[in-house]
Amino acid sequence: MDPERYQKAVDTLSFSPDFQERTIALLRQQAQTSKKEPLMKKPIRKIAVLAAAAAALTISAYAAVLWLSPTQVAEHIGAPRLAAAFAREDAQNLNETVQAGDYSVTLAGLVSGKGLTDWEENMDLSHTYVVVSIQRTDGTPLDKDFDFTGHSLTPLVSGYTPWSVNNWTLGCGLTGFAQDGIYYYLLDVKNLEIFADHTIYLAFYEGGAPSQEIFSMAEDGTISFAETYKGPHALFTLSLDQSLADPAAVQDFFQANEIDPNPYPAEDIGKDVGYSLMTEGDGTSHLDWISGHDLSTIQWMTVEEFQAYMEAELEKMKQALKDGSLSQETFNMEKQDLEDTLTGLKNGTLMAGQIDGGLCVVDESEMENLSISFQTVGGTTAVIPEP
Amino acid sequence: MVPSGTDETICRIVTAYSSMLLRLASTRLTSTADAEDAVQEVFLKLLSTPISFRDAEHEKAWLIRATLHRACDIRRRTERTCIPLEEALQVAAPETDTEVLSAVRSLPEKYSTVLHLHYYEGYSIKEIGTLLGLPAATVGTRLARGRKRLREMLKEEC
Repeated sequence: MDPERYQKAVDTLSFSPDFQERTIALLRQQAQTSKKEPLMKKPIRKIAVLAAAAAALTISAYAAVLWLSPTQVAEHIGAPRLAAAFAREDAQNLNETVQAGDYSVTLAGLVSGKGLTDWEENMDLSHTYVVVSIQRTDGTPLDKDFDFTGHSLTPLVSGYTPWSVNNWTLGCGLTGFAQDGIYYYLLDVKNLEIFADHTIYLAFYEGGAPSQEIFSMAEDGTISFAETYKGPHALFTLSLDQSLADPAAVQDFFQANEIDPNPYPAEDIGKDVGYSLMTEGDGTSHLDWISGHDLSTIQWMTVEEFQAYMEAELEKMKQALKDGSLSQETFNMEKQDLEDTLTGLKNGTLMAGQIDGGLCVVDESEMENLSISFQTVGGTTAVIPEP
Repeated sequence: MVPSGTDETICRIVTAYSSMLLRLASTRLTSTADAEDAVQEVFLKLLSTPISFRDAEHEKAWLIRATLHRACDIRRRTERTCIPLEEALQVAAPETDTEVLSAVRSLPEKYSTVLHLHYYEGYSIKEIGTLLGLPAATVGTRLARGRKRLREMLKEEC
């Protein structure tokens, strides 16, 4: 691909010169309309925690704390339908508190189902809403300047690495506000129920996207914070109706997002590799590198190994074609890809291997374009990731 | 970074992201009018969705994904609509439809998006991974495969 040629082609696109002005005007109008429409807010009622209950807490310094219930949190952000859902009998009012460094983190409540808000166009889509409150253990009030963006609140699912199923990959919505020294989060997760046959966690911690530095996963799939992670953190377990688990939808989720939930063997997790080595010699080789938070591994395949892989993939694709989850067009394209790769492997122009559970086909001449370079260090070849 | 209906927020978001999102939508849509509709709808959705962003990158990632989803919806809707051939030719008038852009548009979304973000917007593989929520290795694979398909398509057309 000639980048310059492509850039020129895109630059010839002619959009309306007044697009920005029109759009700003439209958004202003919409914002005004929204303001005029009352949100049917009920007066927020503050509930004082009884002194006796406060004394029973192991964490000190909670004198007179005023809490908003999950219903009130939903009302505060202008979601009356969700507020009503939190008031229903099937909503979970949990009030589980964990001390996380200088913070006390409370999982206040959870509600899950379809059509709980007006925000989602697709009313058939299930959402799970969780309310969490944060306060300082020393009683210092948290206000609107609380470092909302410096902390993460994310669901995680046992058996799937935290870097494959999380706030980012699930497309969660998160909103927050401070009131009376307490910071409230409302987390909105699409389709969390499909994982209900696994343990579902809710993690709060200081930092960004989940990584090996923050989390570890045991061989049985249990997720915990990494021993070396020292930031404030809390881990809760969420309870969802297991009958709503949908393994097929989970597979669709991974397939649609091209995510391998188990990108590398458990024994590699936490392995301290700055860059890794490709050892050459017996015809087999491993290629490991860390890219961002991901540790990726390529196991290069021989022609025979690829043929076996190809047959297995074709079988899976035929099945998918049969049950309608794969179109004939995609089937043909993917089949052609596999056949081309086999040809390339046979004539030595391609290298193919499994990476992140998928197939990585690399034309040796394109290695540079993939921003991976090779460097010989002490007789072995190091793979240097993109800077 | 909390989206709100303030003048300041509206102006900032529209000014900062319009051009990039319009170009991105155009990798899925032939009509620039459709691309403009897609991007406007995304801004409206942002205004009405109670979502807070961790930082500017998170905001940009949300906008990119939302634009791609909306553009794909419009494309599917357009493809389902049967219109007379003459009208169809007018809709697809090649005002901007150069060969290479047409070829990118005809690729599956997973390839066209990474090709565009890499070759036009100049994002690295790692950055695209962050924006699309994909492992960098997957982005690399899509880039390699997308390039290969593009090469074959352009070769066939010559």
